Amino acid sequence: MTFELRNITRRFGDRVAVNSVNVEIPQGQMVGVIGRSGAGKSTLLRMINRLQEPSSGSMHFGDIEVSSLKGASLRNWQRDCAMIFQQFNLVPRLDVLTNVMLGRLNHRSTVLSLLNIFSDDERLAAIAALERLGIEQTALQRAGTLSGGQQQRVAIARALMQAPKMLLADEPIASLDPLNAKIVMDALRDINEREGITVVTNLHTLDTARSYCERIIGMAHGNVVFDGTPAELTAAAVQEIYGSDRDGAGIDETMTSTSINIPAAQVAAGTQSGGISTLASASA
Amino acid sequence: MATISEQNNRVPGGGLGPAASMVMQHYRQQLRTRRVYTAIAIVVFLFVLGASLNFANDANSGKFFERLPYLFDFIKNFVPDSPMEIFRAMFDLPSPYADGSLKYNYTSDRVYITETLYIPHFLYQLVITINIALVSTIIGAAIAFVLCFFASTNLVGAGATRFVVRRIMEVMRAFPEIVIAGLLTAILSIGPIAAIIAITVHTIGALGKLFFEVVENSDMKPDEGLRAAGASWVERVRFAIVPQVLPNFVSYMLLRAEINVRASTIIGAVGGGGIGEVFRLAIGRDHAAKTYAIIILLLISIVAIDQFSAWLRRRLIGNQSFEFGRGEA
Amino acid sequence: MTTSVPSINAADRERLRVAYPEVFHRSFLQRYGLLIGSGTVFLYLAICFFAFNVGPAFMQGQWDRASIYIQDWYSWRAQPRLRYEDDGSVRVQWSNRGQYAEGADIFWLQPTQNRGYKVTYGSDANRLDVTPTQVDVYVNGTAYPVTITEDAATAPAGAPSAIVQDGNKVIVHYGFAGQAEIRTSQVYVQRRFLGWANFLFDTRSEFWGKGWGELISLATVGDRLDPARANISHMWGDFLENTVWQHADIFSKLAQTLVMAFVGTLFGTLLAFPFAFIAARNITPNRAANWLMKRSFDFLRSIDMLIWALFFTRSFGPGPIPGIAAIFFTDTGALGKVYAEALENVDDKQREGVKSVGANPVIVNRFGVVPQVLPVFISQSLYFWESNTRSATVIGAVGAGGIGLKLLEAMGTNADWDKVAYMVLLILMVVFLFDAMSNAIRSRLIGGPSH
Ligand SMILES: Nc1ncnc2c1ncn2[C@@H]1O[C@H](COP(=O)(O)OP(=O)(O)OP(=O)(O)O)[C@@H](O)[C@H]1O
Ligand SMILES: [Mg+2]
Repeated sequence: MTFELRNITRRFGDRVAVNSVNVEIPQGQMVGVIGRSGAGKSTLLRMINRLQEPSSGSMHFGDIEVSSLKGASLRNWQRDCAMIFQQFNLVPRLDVLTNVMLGRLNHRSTVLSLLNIFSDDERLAAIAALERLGIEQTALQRAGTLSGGQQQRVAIARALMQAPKMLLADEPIASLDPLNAKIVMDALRDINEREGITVVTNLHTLDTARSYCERIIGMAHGNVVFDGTPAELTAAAVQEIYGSDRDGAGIDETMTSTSINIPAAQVAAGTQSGGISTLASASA
Repeated sequence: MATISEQNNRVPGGGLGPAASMVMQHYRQQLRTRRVYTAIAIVVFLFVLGASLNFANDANSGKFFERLPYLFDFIKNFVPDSPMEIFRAMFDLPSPYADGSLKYNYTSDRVYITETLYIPHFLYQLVITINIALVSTIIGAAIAFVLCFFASTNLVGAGATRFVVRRIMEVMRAFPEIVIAGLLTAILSIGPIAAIIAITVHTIGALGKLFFEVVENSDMKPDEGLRAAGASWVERVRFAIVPQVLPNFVSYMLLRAEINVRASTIIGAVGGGGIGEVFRLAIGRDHAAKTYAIIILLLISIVAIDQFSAWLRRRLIGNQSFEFGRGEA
Repeated sequence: MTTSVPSINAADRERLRVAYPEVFHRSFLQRYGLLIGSGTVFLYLAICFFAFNVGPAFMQGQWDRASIYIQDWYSWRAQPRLRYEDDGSVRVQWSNRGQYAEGADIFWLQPTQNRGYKVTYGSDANRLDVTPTQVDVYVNGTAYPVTITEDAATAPAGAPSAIVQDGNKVIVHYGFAGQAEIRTSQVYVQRRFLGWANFLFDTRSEFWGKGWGELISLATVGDRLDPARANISHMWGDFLENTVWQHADIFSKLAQTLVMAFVGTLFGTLLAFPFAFIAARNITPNRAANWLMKRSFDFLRSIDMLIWALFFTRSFGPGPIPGIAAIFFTDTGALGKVYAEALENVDDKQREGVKSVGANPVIVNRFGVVPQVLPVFISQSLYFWESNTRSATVIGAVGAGGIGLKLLEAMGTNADWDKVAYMVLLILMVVFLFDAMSNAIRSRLIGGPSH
């Protein structure tokens, strides 16, 4: 089944956050969305999950018109298209296991949920998901006490519990250190490859997008200005997506990198330190 | 402030640059206006206070200075025959002063459970009063708990729902308790139910307001996370909001329980039964020993309840203090 | 609700169960804690339900009366008695509430040619034609003659359910419009109308019975009814002196209640302010003084306001003074405690700053502490003021006077529920007004970037 965006537009007052986007994503693809801050990436993802309503245009998943769903069928769609966030959006006061099982909410009886009654099968599935992400030992801890990387993995485990057809990730690694970022990205890739779940992820780091995604969508000022494979993402394309800085020089790709020992980037390991120092000097 | 004006006196205007002297001039002008306003406010305030005091004195059936000596007489005359009398009145033990009058009759109101075992009258009434407070706190908090989510901006999009729920809460909060109690007493006849309902209504309004303010201040990220997972409104409230707000809710509820014990004493005195009514009768009939017995019982129970709830609250939310008064209307 | 849990094969299931037993074998408390907790609460409520006799009380409640009382809040009843005279005529006798002036022309109560009276309930289809020997009861246009003899009023056979034979009298119900009790010597008529009768002026006033338009024109441009004073002040005077509604008295009682709250809170604040400095450990470095002060606060606070109120009512007689005293005593304790806590939380850097210039302790507190705590103090006092406005109402009912006592008296008659409603409205208005006022003051004090 293909997911399709047709002329999706979103306005906030006069500002056009997303401008007439047309994209078709076949099932099982791993897509990275890149662009400058304010380009409309988050808005696009949130519209797909229907956390935000499009101003115009329509979205389709197979035969279903996602953009017109309401009530229970809307919630079913939200279940089918799991989402993870930069700030993890877990329930900090509940234990990790419950947080993961909350991914099942849409699958089960509301009354049982409200009474906090979960079956053994659900517990099994939750602990299995946690195990898969390597944080099973935290199962009975409060989610709020976990590190950022662990929390993001809990969020992914929760997304897995939804048994989704699609996984949206809004800057999943933006507040993580490089090592945790890698763990999380690897997990996303693993899910994409093993379950064949479509993954659409917003990324701030170009090299992450290059090494993990089979397809990259570049956005600028609400428009899709690039849509192709990592190989097609030339310096000129990058220039178009990110614009150029004040002195006219293009974006140094490593400048957006915060990652370490990512396989594809290992070749360019020599430039790593340089990249980080560029970042430091830029901010100085 | 003082140093600046002194300096200014020593170096009048000319010593400063033109810009600085302008600033100085403005500053002094401002200071002067402020002083004038303060003076006016104080005068108005004193006038209102004087008028109020005068009015209060006029409206009172006994005038303050005329009655002041009686106050001390009253206190002097209001001494129990012996300290033991207080103890006897408290536990319904027979009094050696018994002369057949109500004043020394402590035993006839005993509440017998078995042939010989009894609950002392005042203790029994105290238990009634505390139970009235507890029941109204529980029911009121439960209803306020349900209502508060419908009054929160971050959970209810429909402005009309929010508006209606909030207005209902406000009216419940401000509605005089004695009127509800009085109306119900007229319908249901005398008894604790009127008091329970009156206090419950107020509790719903007061707690409802505090509750929805807590809800509005809660972190919405968990809610967004659950919404994105396809959870329904109730499920989002249950799992994203309730865990965050529950400690604060319980702590507010405990504070309310403290307040309600006092409220149920007072409502009792107006006709709701319980220790309040017994106290009104005792002091009204000059039964010194009984009066002191009840005062001591009330003092002990209120201190105990306050301490217990303070301890529980500390355990729940740590030392975070509350920015509101005992009654908060 | 459709898809099952992501499937896991049997071997894995076993392994997981063994590896993480704590996930599957939760403690007894974890499993049943919620159930036991809520069960206990329910059990407690159920016990109270029976102990307080809630069921029987509700069953025996006089619910018919309840509906009358509630209707009285927003409507009024005229209750004339139509007495049968020996000469074959019917005479109208009014109860004491006096909603109509002597000899007023009342549209629903008109004399008939045969010296009887016609009482209409809304329309001519629902009416009574009263004569000493027979009352024709019209229900929805059909006449049912009720015959009256020396010893009984008798309804005809086949009368509708609105007409009830009750012993030797007949009762006719017309819903909200009212009812009538036909007896052997008279007919008790009860006629109900929406609104509050004679709310502005009683029947003795020259302004009675005039419409809004007429009143406004009288107040503004009309000729003076009383040459000695302007119409508007005449009106105000008549309004206040309204004998039925007693506006002047109610306003004065309300003012008493407000004064109780205002003066009581103010005095409490004034006394608690200096004492809190003594109670605060960081300000007065004398443990004994701190302890003594704090215990005094606790003592004042823990003696119920009711006790203070009754105590002072006994010594000063009913009125605002005992109310003021009761609020003053409890609030000195409560405010003192709150203030002392605020003082103990002040930022010491500012104090040290003032101390470092060599100021004496009073100055240190004046400039190093007071500016920090004053907004908190005032805002707390405002909260107390608000809540005391409510408390003063209840305290008043106990005996301190004011609107509370007035309410209690009005409720005691069981006939003045409209007056109760009026006072409740006044109280609600005042409370909302004070709410808004103290919120405005508080947000001006605390709001702003400085805090
Ligand atoms: N709720 C909102 N109200 C008003 N404007 C909004 C809202 N959400 C987003 N915008 C605007 O829409 C534009 C796109 O925002 P969006 O969050 O989608 O950008 P982004 O590409 O995700 O940026 P970043 O990389 O910083 O997260 C921005 O200009 C933003 O100001
Ligand atoms: Mg974003």
